[in-house]
Amino acid sequence: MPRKVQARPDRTLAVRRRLFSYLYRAGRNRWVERAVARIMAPDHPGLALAQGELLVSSPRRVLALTAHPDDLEFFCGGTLRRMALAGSRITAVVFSDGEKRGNWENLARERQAEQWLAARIQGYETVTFLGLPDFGLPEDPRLERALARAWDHSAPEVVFAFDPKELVPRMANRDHKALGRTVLDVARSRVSGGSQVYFYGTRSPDVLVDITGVMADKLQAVKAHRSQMVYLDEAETDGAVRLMGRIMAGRSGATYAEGLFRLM
Amino acid sequence: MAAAWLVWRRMQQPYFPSVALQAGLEMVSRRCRVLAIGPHPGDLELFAGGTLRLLAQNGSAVTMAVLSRGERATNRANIEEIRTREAEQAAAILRAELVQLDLPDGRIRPGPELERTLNELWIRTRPELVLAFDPKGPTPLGQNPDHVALGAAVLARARSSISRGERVYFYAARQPNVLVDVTEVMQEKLSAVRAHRSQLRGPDWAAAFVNRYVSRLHTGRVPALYAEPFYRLV
Repeated sequence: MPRKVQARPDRTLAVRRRLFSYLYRAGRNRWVERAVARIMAPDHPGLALAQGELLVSSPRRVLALTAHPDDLEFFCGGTLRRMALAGSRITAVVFSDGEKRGNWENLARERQAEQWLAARIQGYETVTFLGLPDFGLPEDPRLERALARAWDHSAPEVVFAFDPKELVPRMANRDHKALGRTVLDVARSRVSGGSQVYFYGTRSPDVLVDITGVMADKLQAVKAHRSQMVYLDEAETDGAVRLMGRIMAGRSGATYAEGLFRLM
Repeated sequence: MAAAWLVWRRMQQPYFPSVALQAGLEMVSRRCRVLAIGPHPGDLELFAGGTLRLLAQNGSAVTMAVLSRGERATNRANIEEIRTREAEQAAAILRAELVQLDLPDGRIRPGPELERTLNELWIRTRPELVLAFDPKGPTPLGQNPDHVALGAAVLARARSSISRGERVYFYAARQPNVLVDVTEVMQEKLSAVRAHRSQLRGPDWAAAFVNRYVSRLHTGRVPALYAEPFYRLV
């Protein structure tokens, strides 16, 4: 376990802990959950669910892009697990190691190990760590080139990336937004390549994937990131994942779902 | 009031406007067999006229199927013939083939009759791209039940359509995800709408003004002067 660098109280950690637990507690209210689910519901939920089944039921080459080691499992872990079970070959590309946290020293190695563990649970074929600076993706000149190279190297049929329009307005991590925006740029020159681009962590989903059957695997994969259990503890993380699943499922008929926005 | 109007308009914009415009370009530039279904004569011209003309210009075979003759519009004696002739004129302007059907105006409801009609249309045209009225409609209140029935029937067929590889678009969409830039064919669209003389009151410029205003509703965040909104079922 990495050590604290200084003995000062960690203000960032405290702020984010309060923020996340406030969001979680607010969302746990039945009426809030219902209202949010109503706002985020796709226009034709039954068809969205059918489209999700089409997406996960045939084997494809998948490129899953993410900014930090735990985001992929939290936002689209169930989808990836179902695709892996259907025989897809999943390449996960993690742009930064998520090494920063307040006044702690470098967390990179620990979080990489956790990502490998989660990858084994999920059944990814490979995980690539690009090691760009955590919290510095928007300024990093290597981002676009690294993304284009990863895309061309794996020649994907399906690409997953963060939605540059964040899930909760004005509250997304800047790395997530930068990654999504770069994917938008890179995708524009690859329209004719025939790959589909899906955004996860979106607030206007139009494809829903039913993850009820793989919920246990998703929870296990999310909780493999032990170093991230400082914001919410394990029980709360469990509850938050289930809450997200219920909100995305809404009235579509699934118990838990994950929402994706299909770009092209 | 003004703020509410602005918020309402903002909510109607597509999620990624520039991507929606790109998708519209891609939609009209591919050559395919197009089936556009309208509940009454004139609906297709008003809501998707520019897109149909663009598709026809780019080499697609466009079929405009009009379900009813719009005989309940006024109590003129031969209104059916008049409106059918107007629809033919409009189809000629848009360079589309017109299929005029005989469902009862105002009484189109989901049911076996509508199903059978749609089946025949599908067999007859074997479409690769389908345009139908959005079952949610352009406004939250005051929908014409014919429009809703058509949209619901096409939506019910959509799952099998999509698995066959057809692409389904709804016109008159309230929350579009495809915008088609119709600036270059705006004149043709206007004259196609104007062909429906029996339905227009007042001078031509008034109809043109309303039409231009409606066509600009969704262009707030994209570099297009006039656009038509569509909702694409993914």
